[in-house]
Amino acid sequence: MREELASRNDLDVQLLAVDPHDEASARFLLKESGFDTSEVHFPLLMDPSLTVSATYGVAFQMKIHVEWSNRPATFIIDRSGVIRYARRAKTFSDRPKPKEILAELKKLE
Amino acid sequence: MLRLLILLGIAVSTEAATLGGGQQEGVTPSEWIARFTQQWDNSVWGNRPRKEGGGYMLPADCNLWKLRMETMQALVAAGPDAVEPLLEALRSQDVATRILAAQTLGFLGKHVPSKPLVKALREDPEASVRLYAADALGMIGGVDVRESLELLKESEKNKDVRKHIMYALGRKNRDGAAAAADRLAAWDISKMDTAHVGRMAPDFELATVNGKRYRLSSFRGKKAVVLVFIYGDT
Repeated sequence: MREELASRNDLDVQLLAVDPHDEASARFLLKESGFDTSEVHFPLLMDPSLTVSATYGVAFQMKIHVEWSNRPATFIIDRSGVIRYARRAKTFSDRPKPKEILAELKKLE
Repeated sequence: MLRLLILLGIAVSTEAATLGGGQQEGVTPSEWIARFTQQWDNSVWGNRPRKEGGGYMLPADCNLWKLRMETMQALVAAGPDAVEPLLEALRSQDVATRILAAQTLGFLGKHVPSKPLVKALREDPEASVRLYAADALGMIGGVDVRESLELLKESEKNKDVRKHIMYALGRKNRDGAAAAADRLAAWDISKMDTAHVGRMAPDFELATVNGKRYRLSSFRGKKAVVLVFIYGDT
C-alpha cells in the first residue's frame, strides 16, 4: 500500500507513517531490511515518547515478540482535518488493502 | 496509605474519570506503581485463538493500555523522585511491573544508576524485562554502559533482546532520549485516545529518522492524509 500510495501523486494524498521507536532503532531496522534512510519515499515519523501513539489510541496494545508495541492502525483525514476513517487492527496482519483505502479516498470530495 | 487506598478505590470504580482528567496532584511515584501492579491483569492479552489476536493483542474494548501510559507519564513527570521506587519495582515479583519499571527508567536517563539495569539485563528471566533494560541503558548512555552492553550482547540468548542491545550500542548520544523524555513528561494525558471518526484529528509534530520535522496540520488542504501506525519489526 505504501508503495502504491507513494507512487500516486495524482491523488493529492499525503501518506505519513508513525513508528513507536526512535532514531537509533529505526536506522538499525531500515538498514537491516536493506533500506537506505534516504530511500524511503514517505515520511516515516518517530514517536519515541509514545505520546502521538497514545493520543491516537494505539500505544501498548500489541506484543510483538517480547516488546509491547503499537496496534497497527490506519486513519484517513480529510481536507479540513477531520478524521473520516479509522481502522485499528485486530491481528498483526489485519490492515486495509490498497483498494479499500482508494475506495475510502474516493468518498472524499 | 489512606491516600493510596482512596486512589486505588477511585481508580477501580471510575477508570474513565481518572483518565483524561489531567495530571493528578499529590500521588507519589510508589503509589502510581502500586496502582499499576494492582490493576494490570496479564490475562487481558486474551485466551482467544491466536488468529484472532489472542495472546498478543489487547481486545478492542480493553483500556488497560491507558493505565500503563498514564502511569509511565506520571513517573517520568515526577523525575528524580521516581527513580528509587522504580528501582524497587525492577525487583518486583510481578512481571508487568518489572517491564514498566525498566522502560520508564530509560526516560529518566541521567538520574538513573546503570548497575541495577545491567543486572536486570543480565539476570531477569523475562525477555521483555531484559529488552526494556537494554533500551533504558541505551537511553542512559556512558562508557561503562557501553562496556556492559558489549559483554551482554555475546551472552544474550533472545534474538530480540540482542537486537535492542545493538540499538543501544548504535546511539551516538542521549539527545534523542532526553527529548523524548521531556516530551513525555510534558504530555497532557487528556489527549489520550482522542482520535475518532468525525472529530478533528489531534495535531502533532514528529521528526523522521533524518531529523526532518512534519506537522500533521501543515497538510490541511490536501485531499487527504493517510496516517498509518506501524510497528518497527516489519
